[in-house]
Amino acid sequence: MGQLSSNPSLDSLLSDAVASDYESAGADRHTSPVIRILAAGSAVLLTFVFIAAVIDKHNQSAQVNSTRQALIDRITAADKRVALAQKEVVQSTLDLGAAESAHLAGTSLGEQAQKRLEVLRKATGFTELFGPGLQVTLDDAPDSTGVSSSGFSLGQVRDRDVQSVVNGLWASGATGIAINGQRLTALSAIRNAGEAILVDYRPLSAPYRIVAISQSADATAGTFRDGVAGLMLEQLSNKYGVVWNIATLGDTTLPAASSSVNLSGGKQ
Amino acid sequence: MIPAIGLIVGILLGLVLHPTVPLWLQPYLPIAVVAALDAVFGALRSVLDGIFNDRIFVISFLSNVVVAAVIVFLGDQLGVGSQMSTGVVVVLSMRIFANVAAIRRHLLKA
Repeated sequence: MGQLSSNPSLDSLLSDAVASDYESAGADRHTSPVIRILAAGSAVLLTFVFIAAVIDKHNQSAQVNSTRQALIDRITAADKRVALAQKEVVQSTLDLGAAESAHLAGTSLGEQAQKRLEVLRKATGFTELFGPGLQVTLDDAPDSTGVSSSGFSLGQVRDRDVQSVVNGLWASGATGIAINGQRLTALSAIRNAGEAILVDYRPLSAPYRIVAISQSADATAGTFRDGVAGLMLEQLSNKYGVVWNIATLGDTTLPAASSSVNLSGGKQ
Repeated sequence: MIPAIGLIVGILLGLVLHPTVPLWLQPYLPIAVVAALDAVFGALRSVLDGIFNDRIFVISFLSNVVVAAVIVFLGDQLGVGSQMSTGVVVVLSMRIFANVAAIRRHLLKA
């Protein structure tokens, strides 16, 4: 055995560990048949174990893959069910509205109530809204390298940014707002969960298209740009490279909110 | 010669029988494989040296596997199973390297 290391005690340890088993004994010419059978058996066992390990490893990875696929299938199935249920909610809300107006029509008190209901529905987002629209597009900085103290990249659009854009649009005279097709209601929440921005617990992905409807879209766009939200966006784009623009859209339809709102917070 | 035939028979048996490894044996399997590889390369080297010995082959294989299994088992009981496995793998890998180096010197004179 050659020199394995420069340290003599380590050297002896290593050479002991790697010494050949056969050197001490030498060849044995008169082996008994029992030993020979045992040797053959050991050889069989040896490669058998090896093959067993290979097959076992293979089986395990196949199992992991199938579990993963099953989980993915379950997620997509659940997503489909949610989408279906949301469609049902919208349809039922429309049916309810129709039934309500049928019930309220006829009496002057009923018609008054219906008008008030109509105004409230539009304001709270529970009915489709049609009118002149404008769109604020908001996107993460294309090459955001800096990382904030909380671990987010600095050029990333956060819930606070979207919130102030939405508040700015309300303040500038918007009557209805939808973010990436998700209509905001009077009780919608915009918040971060990890990296993603959630609107009413539904995750959105960049770019964020915030569509608002206003009777005077041009005036709203001007007020928004000069307001607090517009100035903040300008600063975000100067400092962090966040991309944004505002444009009027012409006539636009906002969808009704699909998520049911839990009103349990209000006392009846 | 007989052990060499045994090796081939073992491969064929494994491929034909498709053994499933019971769950309690699974932690020992990689260790057993490395110990077995050590025995094979040690035997191959001794064949080339002309000092192969069936008795030592049987004893070294069985004792390697048993000692490796006992070390891993003890490590598991003491909560240092993965470290013990690492130790066993390191020592046996060193032996495999040394044996393969000797085989290489024999066959390639390099």
